[in-house]
Amino acid sequence: MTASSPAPRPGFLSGFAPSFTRGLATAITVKKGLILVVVLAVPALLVLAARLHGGPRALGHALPAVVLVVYLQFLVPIAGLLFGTGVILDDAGAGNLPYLFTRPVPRSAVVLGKSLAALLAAALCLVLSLAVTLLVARGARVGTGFPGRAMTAVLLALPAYLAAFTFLSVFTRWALVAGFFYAFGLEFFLGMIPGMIRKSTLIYYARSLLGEVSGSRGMLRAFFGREGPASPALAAGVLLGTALLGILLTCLLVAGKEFVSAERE
Amino acid sequence: MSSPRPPVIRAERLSRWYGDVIGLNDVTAVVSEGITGLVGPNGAGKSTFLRIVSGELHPSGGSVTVLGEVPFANPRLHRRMGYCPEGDRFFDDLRAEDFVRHLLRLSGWPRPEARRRAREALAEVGMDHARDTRLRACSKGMRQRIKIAQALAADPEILLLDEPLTGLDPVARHETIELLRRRAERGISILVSSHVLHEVESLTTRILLINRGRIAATGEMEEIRDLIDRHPRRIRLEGPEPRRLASLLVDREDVRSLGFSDGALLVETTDPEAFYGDLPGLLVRHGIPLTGLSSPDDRLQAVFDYLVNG
Repeated sequence: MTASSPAPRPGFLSGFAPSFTRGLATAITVKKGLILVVVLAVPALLVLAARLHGGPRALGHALPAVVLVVYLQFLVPIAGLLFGTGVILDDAGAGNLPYLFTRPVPRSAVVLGKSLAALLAAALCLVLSLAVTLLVARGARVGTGFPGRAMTAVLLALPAYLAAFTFLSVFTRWALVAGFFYAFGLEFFLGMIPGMIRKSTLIYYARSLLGEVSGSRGMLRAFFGREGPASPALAAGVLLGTALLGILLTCLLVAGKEFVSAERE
Repeated sequence: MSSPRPPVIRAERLSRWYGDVIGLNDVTAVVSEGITGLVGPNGAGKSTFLRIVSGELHPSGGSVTVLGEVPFANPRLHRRMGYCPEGDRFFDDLRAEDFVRHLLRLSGWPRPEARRRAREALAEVGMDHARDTRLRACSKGMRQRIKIAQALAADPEILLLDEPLTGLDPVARHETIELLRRRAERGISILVSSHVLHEVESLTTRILLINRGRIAATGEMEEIRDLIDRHPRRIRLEGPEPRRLASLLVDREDVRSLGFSDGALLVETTDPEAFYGDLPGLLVRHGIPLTGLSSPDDRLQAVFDYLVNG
């Protein structure tokens, strides 16, 4: 081989950019992406059913319920779980890590590139789905600004879940199961307990961002109880902080952690 | 006498556990420039050693340096290192050229240079015709050569190859051996593992024998042979009177056992040098003709068996 160019001195960006590009390509083509797209069509269909059978009044109740329950309680955690755990575990399962982690770039650059690609892919799926749902529900009596608040809640909750589940996947190859247990077991359970404890869940802050919704006041009151929702600024801060802390800790941990595959001598 | 070479890899009391299972046990070894064969049966600890040296794993105890640097998660060292892991599954969804190019891009090479290097590396291992083939569609031998290509593509100073010849047909194996020799002649240091001894024999005379996580022997083949001389050696004596010859040898102190195989006498001696020295006189004195003399233990396989099995 001719060595016409001097060997490069790769930096953080050298690891980040190719990882981001490849992460985006694989996130969109993998099976779970396709499954998610199918699942994401469900809320639009629910709202369409409400529009066809109940009229504008029913639509005013259905849309907030769909955003609260289907998006924030189900789709956002599941998207965060699937895409977040995939950042490391997909490559671990495919036997790619020995190649990726012996490159002359910081491991954190590879993980950050892949994490942001996963976030972008998941966000695109959710935004597209929510936009279609809101379009189908246009004219619903839910108060002004609800679509914007719903979009904000989804877009701030997603990075928090995704980063938390990516962080979890550094510790265990069973992160998908553990994350599922957290999102649909523990968090749901904690959210039911009256008092301050529900403030330790991500869903509390995600729901707080929806603010007052004319059609679903009863549902929100039942959820927030006497404590009421967090202020939008606090809710956004907690969700963003969780996302940043999660990805920061993941990068720090990956830098010093070895990933022993099942096959070894 | 081999000339002293600067150490490329230095392991001191290196150990590695997987839970309760020992992968490497108190290994102290020095690997110098040139090609070194890491030889041992399956499960001996070869891959564990390479994974620690490549910086993929931490040692559980002891220390290792490569080109003077601690390897784990060390981008400065990884600039100078090419690594071909053992596993046969990797980047299934990528085409051969995209795979090599992606890893070059992750090594900081600009896009056009990465493409050029990827194509050259694939051509060098005879895989230029497969550069648009997805890895999942490649045969094991093709994937093996593509793995070697990615390790060579960045022109590293040190190359770590874990069982690189596994799955290759004889022609590809010969070509790969020649390729590695050419690279070594250009000054690159290569540590290559194998459990097939004749593969290593055809690559290098410098070996590191490993078994059950321990280094059984290390050095040039000649040095290993010196070691073997301290072990019992089997000698096959062919002639018309094997039983008479056996009766003359049975009382020798250095003869540990005698046996017959296909009309030949098999002698196991603990002092081959003395045995070979005394044999001609003994044969002449008793008028015993000998039509053949050989030692099945002169091959590396025998050296290996002796040293790892005791």
